Amino acid sequence: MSATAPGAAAPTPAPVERTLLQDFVALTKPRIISLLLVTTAAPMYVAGDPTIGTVLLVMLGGYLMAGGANAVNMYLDRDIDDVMTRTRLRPIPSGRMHARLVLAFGVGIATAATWMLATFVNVLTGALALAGFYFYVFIYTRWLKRSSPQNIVIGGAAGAFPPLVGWAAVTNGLDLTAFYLFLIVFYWTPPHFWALALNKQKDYGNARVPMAPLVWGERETIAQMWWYTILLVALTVLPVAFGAFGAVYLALALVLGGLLLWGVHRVRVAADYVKPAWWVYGYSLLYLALLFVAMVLDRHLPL
Amino acid sequence: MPAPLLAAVFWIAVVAVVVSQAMILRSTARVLRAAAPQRPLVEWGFAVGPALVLAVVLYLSWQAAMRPATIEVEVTPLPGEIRL
Repeated sequence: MSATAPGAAAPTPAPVERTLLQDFVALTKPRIISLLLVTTAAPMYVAGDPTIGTVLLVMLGGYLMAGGANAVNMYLDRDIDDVMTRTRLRPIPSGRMHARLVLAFGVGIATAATWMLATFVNVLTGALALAGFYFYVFIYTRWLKRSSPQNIVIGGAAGAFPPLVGWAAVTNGLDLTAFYLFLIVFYWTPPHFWALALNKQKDYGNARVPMAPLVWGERETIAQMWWYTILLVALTVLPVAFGAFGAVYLALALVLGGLLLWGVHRVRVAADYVKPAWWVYGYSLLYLALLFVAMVLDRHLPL
Repeated sequence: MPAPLLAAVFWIAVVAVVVSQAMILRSTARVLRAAAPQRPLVEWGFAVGPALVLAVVLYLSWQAAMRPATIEVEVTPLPGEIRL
């Protein structure tokens, strides 16, 4: 196994020039939100046949809420962002934006999102989106991230709210299938983020963030990644058993899940886990998006 | 899909979920013993909480999977067909 020893100083990346607008967009972490929007939109088409107007409204509200949470996260984490290589060029640590402006921006767009979703979609949708915001900001960022190696396990619930938001936007309620979508994202999170954490141990060590590979060791973290992935793949097929999805989804879930299991297995057996772990990190993003697309295809393909 | 196939999917998935969750708890117990965290009860809560939620969801899934299939038919009788 390969190890990146914590403690060494991270090299400073080359500075970048950005406009104020580009910095405001960067605060929302648009690349991360794109996956959240897939896990919001797809459940809407699984739950029913929403109008394009409703979908666009929920997408905009979802983007503003998640973007607000990400901006507040950057405000709260500005001290550790300064010591981590991959976050050092963010607007606050690079000195391009004042911390209080970032906080006001984050709270402002999250408030706008709550009002928009509760007024133009329904109150449950607004409440669920706001619950996801609070969970991410207070439970994950403020409490768990710096205090527990299981930060990602419990914190995964924050990223699992979007399917509930999408479902509630169409049905104004929640049912067993909606909870499965929540659990799928929840159990997807540990193997996905631990694949990143394995390769970024030096960064997390510098920032004193107690990620599992640093506290538990690589061997135990990889073992848990394996069991979490088996659990995840099993969870993805369970809704088929009570009729939520059919054969198209079952086949796609097994193929996509099989590939993910193969990737994590490579991390387990490799002499040097760096490349297989990067592969798992990248593929797991694609996996989650394609799994949710498979759910929509299953509901809407005339088979 | 045929009922026996659905039953097989259900029970295989349930066994996989239960075994993997048990292995996660076993691994967590091992690391908690070795690392001696400041708040062991809280750490245990983080590990056991999701397992309890999972148990409830599996129970609800079992109830939903065992429920016999029904077809809802809406019938609107013509006024002349109603006899009291």
